[in-house]
Amino acid sequence: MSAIWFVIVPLIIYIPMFLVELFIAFRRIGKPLDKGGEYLHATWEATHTFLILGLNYFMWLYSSAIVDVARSVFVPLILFGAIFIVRAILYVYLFYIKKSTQPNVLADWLFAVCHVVMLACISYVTFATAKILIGGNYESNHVLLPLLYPGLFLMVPLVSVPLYFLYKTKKI
Amino acid sequence: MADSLGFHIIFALLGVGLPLVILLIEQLGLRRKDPLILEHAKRLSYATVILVVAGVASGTIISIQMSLMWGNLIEFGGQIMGLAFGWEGYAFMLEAVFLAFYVSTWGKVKGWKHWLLGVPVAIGSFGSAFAITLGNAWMQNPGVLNVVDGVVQTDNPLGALLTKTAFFMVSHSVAGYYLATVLCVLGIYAFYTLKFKPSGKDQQAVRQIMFRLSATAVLFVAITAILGHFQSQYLAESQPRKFAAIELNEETRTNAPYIIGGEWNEEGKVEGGIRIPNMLSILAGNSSTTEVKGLQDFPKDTWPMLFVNILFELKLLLVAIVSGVSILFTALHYKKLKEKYRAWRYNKPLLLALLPLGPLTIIIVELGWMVAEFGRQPFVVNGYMRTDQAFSGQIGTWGYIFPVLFIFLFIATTIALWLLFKKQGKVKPAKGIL
Repeated sequence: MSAIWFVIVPLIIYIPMFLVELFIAFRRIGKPLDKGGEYLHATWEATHTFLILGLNYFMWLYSSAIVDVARSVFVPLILFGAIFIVRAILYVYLFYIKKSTQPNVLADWLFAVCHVVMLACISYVTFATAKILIGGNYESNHVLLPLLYPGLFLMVPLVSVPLYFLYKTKKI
Repeated sequence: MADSLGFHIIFALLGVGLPLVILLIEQLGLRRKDPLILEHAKRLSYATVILVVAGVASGTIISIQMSLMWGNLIEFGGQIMGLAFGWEGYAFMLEAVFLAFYVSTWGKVKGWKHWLLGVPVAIGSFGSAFAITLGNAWMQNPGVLNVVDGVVQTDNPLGALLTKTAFFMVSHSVAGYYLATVLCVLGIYAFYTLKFKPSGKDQQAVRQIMFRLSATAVLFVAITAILGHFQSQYLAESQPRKFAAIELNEETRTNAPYIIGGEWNEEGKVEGGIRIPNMLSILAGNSSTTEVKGLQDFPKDTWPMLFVNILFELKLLLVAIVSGVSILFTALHYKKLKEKYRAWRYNKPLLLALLPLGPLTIIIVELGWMVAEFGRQPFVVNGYMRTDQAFSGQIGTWGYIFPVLFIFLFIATTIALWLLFKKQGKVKPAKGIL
């Protein structure tokens, strides 16, 4: 099994769940509060761990490519990080601070748009990285693979069970 | 990057400790069949979600900054550090997914089954801290490395990570995270007692929780103190340069004195301070004849940042305060004590003294991290790669964005936690939770 699957598998799991979260973010604009527990339970953060896993794998399995990739995706990655924090601030504000039943349309829109910007940044970073990896001759750190297999084969199915129930009970 | 790490540590350590604290409180509630105690556990689990939201954001920023700024380090140590970070990814995933599940199933999954859903959260949070600290321990004391074309080559990354340094760093750090969290929650209940003056069953529930927390805190005080001592002894042996800088030891000698309150000058000479004869040799090797290496034995361009001793002494001072207050509070629960002394437990002065213990312990953890990191300088991988060599890209003015955003995130998180504990008022037993 090639090292690249360690990056692809988390991303394949991540993308559909992210799209669900994106859809919910727009659908809830102008609605008063999170009555259905759509956000209070932080499913987005749980989903997001797959992206972190993919990023982690890439960084460390393709450590020889990291300097070249970092140069070419610098701005979108920084932008992604900045928007990520803005989204976290808005999340805490909307679902844990704001108690009024009146909707805050501006904050709702900002919150939703954050998801779009993040998606655009991730897409750019993914394609730019793929281009560099295909064009270059980078060795992966094969020595790590046997020690990382158990996680991919055991942990991903293990966390899929609660994730399935979380999304099943989410009002989409 | 230091600002991101300094910020992240606060949320990370609470994220590590809170799952254990919640399990302890939920277990107490289930054993006593007390819905009030369970409601307290539920409220804390919502606080954990808020902290995880902030922790995920700051943790992602650290990953991004690592890849953008420290590419040379990743390239150099990828074959070893990659294992630690790969495991951390799994552990964090386990923690975050099961936390969301655990929080969403209050009242739906009941009794011990719900408690069991919290176990993977605690395992995952411990695993995250374990894996990340393994990576850091390797950077502190990498052992003998085979470096080919500027890259570490190994066929045994596991062996490179699982070292004696790793054992001490992981156990001491994780025990410190648990202690800090337990004391933060104890402070919250001291505040709860002062603010809402609980009575009847609520008072009983709060006091049971507080006693359990304080007893746990004393246990972790003992564990961190014992581990800290043996870690220091091993530090003297394995990283003598850092040990000399921390402990103000100028020259290699036996009968080395322990100096309190002194400081380094630019020539590497110690000025001022109270000297306790032989004590450093005794602390380092249990005998006054133990030879302790001095800073002068090392080339000046490899000296760590010399203010580490001030950070270390400040840390010890805070440790003494935190330990003293938590031991006193726990000791006052002793049943054979006269009732007039036992009554001090919930008097205003002692409750007020409990309030800052959590934040002080977080400062202790931050100081410990700074001592470890500044003490390792000028190297990023001790003895092999200097910090300036590890740096691969200038982040420029973009770097100012994150500290500003972190301040806003910190404010939002603090307000949310404040509202959770203050504005929601007294805890009431919810139906259907047991």
